[in-house]
Amino acid sequence: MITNRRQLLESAGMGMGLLALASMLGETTAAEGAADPFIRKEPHFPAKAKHVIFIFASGGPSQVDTWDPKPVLARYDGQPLPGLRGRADRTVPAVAFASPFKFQKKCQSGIEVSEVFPKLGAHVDKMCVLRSLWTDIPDHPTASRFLSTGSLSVPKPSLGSWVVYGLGCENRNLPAFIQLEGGNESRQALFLPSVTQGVNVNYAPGMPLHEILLNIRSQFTPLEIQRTQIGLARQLNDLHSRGLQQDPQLEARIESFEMAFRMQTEATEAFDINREPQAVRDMYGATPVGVKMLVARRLVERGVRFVTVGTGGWDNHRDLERDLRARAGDVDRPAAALLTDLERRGLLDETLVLWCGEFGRTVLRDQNGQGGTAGRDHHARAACGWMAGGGVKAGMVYGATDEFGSEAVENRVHTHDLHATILALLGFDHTRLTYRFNGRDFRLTDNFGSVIRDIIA
Amino acid sequence: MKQAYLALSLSLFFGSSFAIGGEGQRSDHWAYQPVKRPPAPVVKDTQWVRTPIDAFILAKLEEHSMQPNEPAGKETLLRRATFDLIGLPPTTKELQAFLADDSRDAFAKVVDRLLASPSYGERWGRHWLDTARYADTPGIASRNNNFKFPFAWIYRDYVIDAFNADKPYDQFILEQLAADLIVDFGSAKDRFFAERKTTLAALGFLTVGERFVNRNDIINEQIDAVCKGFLGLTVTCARCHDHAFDPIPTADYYALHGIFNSTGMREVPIGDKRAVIVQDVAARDSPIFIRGRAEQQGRLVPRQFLEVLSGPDRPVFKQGSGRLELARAIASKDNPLTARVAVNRVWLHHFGEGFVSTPDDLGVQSEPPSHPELLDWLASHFMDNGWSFKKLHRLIMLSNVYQQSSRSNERCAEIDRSNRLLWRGNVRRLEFEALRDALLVFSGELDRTIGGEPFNLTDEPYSFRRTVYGFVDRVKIPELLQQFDFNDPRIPISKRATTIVPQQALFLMNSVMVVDVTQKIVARKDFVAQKDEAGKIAALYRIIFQREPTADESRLGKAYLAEVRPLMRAADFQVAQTSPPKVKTRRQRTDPQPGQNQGELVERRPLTDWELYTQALLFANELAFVK
Repeated sequence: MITNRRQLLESAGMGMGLLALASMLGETTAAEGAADPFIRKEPHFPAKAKHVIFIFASGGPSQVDTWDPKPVLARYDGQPLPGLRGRADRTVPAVAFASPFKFQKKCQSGIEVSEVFPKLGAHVDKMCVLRSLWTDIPDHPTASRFLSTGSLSVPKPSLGSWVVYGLGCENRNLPAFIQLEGGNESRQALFLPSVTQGVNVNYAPGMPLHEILLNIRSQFTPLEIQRTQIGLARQLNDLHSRGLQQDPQLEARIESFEMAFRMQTEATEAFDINREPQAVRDMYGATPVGVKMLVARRLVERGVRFVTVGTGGWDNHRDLERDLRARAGDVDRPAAALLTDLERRGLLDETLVLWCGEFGRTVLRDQNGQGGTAGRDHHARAACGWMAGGGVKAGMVYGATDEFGSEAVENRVHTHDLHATILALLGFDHTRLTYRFNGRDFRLTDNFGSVIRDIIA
Repeated sequence: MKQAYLALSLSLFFGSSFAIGGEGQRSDHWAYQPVKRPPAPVVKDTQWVRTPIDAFILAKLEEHSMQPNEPAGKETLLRRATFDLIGLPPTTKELQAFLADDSRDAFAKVVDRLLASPSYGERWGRHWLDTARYADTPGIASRNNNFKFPFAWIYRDYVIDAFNADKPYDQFILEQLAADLIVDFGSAKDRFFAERKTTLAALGFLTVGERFVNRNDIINEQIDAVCKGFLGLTVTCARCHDHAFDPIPTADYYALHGIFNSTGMREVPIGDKRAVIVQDVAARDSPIFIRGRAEQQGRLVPRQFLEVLSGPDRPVFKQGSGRLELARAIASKDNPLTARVAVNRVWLHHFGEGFVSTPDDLGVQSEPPSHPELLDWLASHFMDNGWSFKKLHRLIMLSNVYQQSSRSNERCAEIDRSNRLLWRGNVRRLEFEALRDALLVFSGELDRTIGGEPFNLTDEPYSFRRTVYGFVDRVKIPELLQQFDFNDPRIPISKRATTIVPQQALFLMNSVMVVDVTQKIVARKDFVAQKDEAGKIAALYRIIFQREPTADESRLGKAYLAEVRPLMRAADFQVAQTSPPKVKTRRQRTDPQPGQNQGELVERRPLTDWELYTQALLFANELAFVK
C-alpha cells in the first residue's frame, strides 16, 4: 500500500521531503493523520465553484448607498421616519439620512447601481446582488467573527478553513487558504486539520517580494542544502514525537517546514505581479486593493482554494459622502478588473467572488460622531452584498429590505444562510460537512442555515 | 463508558447560538453566583492526590474511568516550569542542579527560585499586557502623524514590577483604576515620594488604549478594557441596547460611562519621564444615549456598579467620579467574577486552556467551565491568600496534575481527545516572545536589562533584549509578530491563537536574526572548547535542549555533517544567485530613525557545516513546544 502511495505521490511530482513525510505519516495507519493532508477531495455533489475570492468590506458598508437604493428616503431627509421601530425610552427621534449618491440602471439586467461604482456597474450582468443580508450583533469584532466563523463568541474554525477541509488542496506548494490582510480569527483552523489554516499576507503595492513574504528567500544557504537541514529536523522530530503519539500540532509543524520550503520557489512566483503584462496590471491599478485583487487571481489560478481580500474603511459614522465614495473607489476598478480577468481566463465559472461586510448601516443620521458631515451607525437587521461566478445566477437581485432599507424583509439571508449557500455552490451539503472533534460533530453553520437555492444557476 | 462519553460531550460543548433565556435565567448564570469553597472531592486513588487541586481533577477523571499520566521526567518538568514562569529555557547548570537534587522538595525549590527571578515579571507581565491591550502607539486616530505614546512603557514597566513584587491582585486592580485616589504621596522630601509617584504609572491601564477622536469612543474603550480585563464581561454591547445575552442593561453601561466621563487624562512628570494618567474632573451622571447616540439623551443614571454583580440596591457612588468606589467593587471578595477570572487566566497560561475557554468572557455565552468546583476552590483560595499570584503558581505547580507527562494514551484520547479533563500534560507551542528569547539565550548574548524604552523588533542591528520590550504599533503590528499570533492590541485578548503556519518555519529557516543567532552559538566558548564531533554535538544539545544527545541523535548529527560537507563543496559555498538583498557589511548605522536600534551592522557570510547543523537543531519540534 505504501508502494502505491509512493508511486502516486511521485507521479504528483513531489519532492523528497514530502515523500518522506508522507511515508512517515503513513506509518500511523488507523488515525486520521494518516491520510495525505494535501490531497484533493471530492465534494458531496457536482458543483461549479472550486475557489472562493472573498472581498471583505470591513467596517460594515451602508446598503442604501451601495446596492440597495431607497429614493424614498429623500422625502424624509433630516426628518423622523414614519412607523420605524422605536424604543419606549426614546426622547429624541432619529432622523433619516437620504443617500447622497445617485443610482442608475445598468446593463441588460437593469440592476440599479450607485454612482460610487462606475466601473463595477458595467458588470452587474455577471452579478447576483443580495439585498436582504442580516446578522445578529452590530458590533465589529462580534459580527466579523460571526461572518468569518459562524460563531458569535466561542472560537470556531473559519469559513476558509471549512472550504479547504471540504475540497482539499490543489497545489501542494502554496497554502490553500491565503488572507491578503486581516486578523487571526478569520483564518483560524482551530481543531480542523492544520493544512486548512489560513496564511496572512500583508500584500501592498511596490513592496519588494522579500518584504511582502517575510523571510521567503534563503540568503545564506543554497536550497539543496537547506533541504538537508529540513530532512535532519524531520528525523529529529520523529525521535521526539515517539511517546507523544500523534499530537496534531507536532505533525502540523513538520508539514509547515515542508510547505515553507516549497513556498520559497512557488510563492515568490505567485506573488510577483511584475510577471503580469503591463496592460493587466494597469487594469487592476497599482493601489493597495488593486494589487491584492490581482494577486488573488494569480493565487486562484494556481489552485489556492480560498483567498480573502481585506478592504477597510467602511465604518462611516461621519463624512459618509466623502469617505464611502473613496472606499468604493478603492474597490471599484480592481473588482471590475477581477471579474473581467477571471472571465477572460475561463476562471469565473469555477471561482465564486463574494463582496460583503460584517453588517449594514442605519438609514438614519449618525450624529454621535463629532465634527464632519453626516454618517450612519452600525446596523444588523439589513445589509447588502454581491456574488459573481462560481455557479451563481447572474444579473439578478435577491431579497429586499423594507421601504426605507432599514430591515431585510423579503427572502432574508442570515449569515448562516450565506455560509450554507457558499458551501452549496462548492458542492457541499452544509449539514453534512462536519468534523468530529471531542465526541461532537461540528459544522460551519452549527444547527442553522438554509441554502438559498434561488440564486444557484 | 458510552454514557460517560456522551455526558462529557454535552458538558464540554455548548453551542454558540441558542435561544436567549428570560432575564431571570440569565442572572442565574453560574458566574454571577457568589464564589463557593467546595470541599475537595473524595477519590479512589488517594495516593495520587498531593494537593486539593489533584482531588478535583482526579475525581472527574475517575468519573470517566480515566487515569492521569505518570509524572514527567525531571528534564521535561524543569523545562516546562522554567518556560511557564520566566519564559526562558533553563540553563545547563540549573538542570544539573535539579537532577542532582534528590530531596523531596527539589521541585519546590525550583519553583521558588523561578518566582524570585526578575524574569518572572517579564513573562507574566506580558500576559497581563495582552489583557490590558497594551501598545506603544495610540492607534487609528493618529495613524498619519506617526505619533507615539512617548512613555506608554512606563505602564509596561509598572506591570512587570507589580508581578515581580507579587503585588496583591486586589491592590493591582485598585492602582490601575485609581492610583491617583489611593496613594498618599506625602511630602516631596519623603524618601518614598518618588516610589509612590511611580505608582501613578498604573493608571496607564486607562490611558494606553486606542485613542479615538470621539470622547465617547474613548470612554467605551475604557469600559471595555475594565470589564473584559477584570470581570470577564462584555459590557459594551449595552452602549446601544440592553445586552442580548448577559443581564447588562443599557442603564448599567451609562452608570459606568458617568464614572469615566467624570475622569480626564493628563500628563504628569514621573521622575525624568512623563506619563499620561487620569484624574477626576467635575463629577456628573451620564444620561442614557438612546441607541448609543449622544444627541438622543434619555434619563440620567447614577454612577454605580453593575446590577447583576451587586444587586438592585447597590450604593450610588459619591466620591468624585466614583472611580475608586468602582475599583473597590471590582477588587472585592464579594465580586463573583474578579477572582474567578484571574484564576482562570493563570490556569490557562499554565495548562494551555482555562477552565472556561473564553478567558475574557465568563458571561452567559461562554461554555460551562470544565471544572467549576476547582475554579471556585482556587478563586476562594486565591482571595484568602492575599490575592497572591506567586502563591497561586506555587500551589498549582506543586500539584500532580501540573507535573504529569504529556504522553498520549489511546484510551483516554478516545474519551477526551482535547484533554479538557487533564489526563495528560498539554503539548504547547511557545509564544513568539518565548521562542525569540530562547534563541537569544542560546546565542549567549541575551540582554537582561529590565524595563526602559522599547526597541525595534525587526530592524537591524538586532537588539538582543527580551521581546516584551519590543515596540508595538497598534495599527501596524510587525508582520513577524502577526505570523506568530501576537494579539490585536485594539482589544483586550487574554488568550492567543496558537496556529502553525509556514511563515513561522520561514522565520527559522531564513531570517537574518536566526542566522546571527546560529553563528553566535557556534562561536560560544563551550562549543569551541570541544575537541571532537561527539563533544561538539553534545555541547549544542546542552545549549539548545539542555540535555545530552541520545546515541541516535549523536549518530544523526555525525551523519548529517558527513552528508552536507560534499554538498557544500558542490555549491562552492556560494549563496544562491537569486537571493536579494545583498549581505550587509559591517558598518555603523549612519541614519538611525527615531525608534530604530543603534549599533553596528554585522557582516554576514554563508553558514559553515556546523552552523548548518546548529540551525537545523533550531528547527526541531522539541524547541518549539513545551511538553
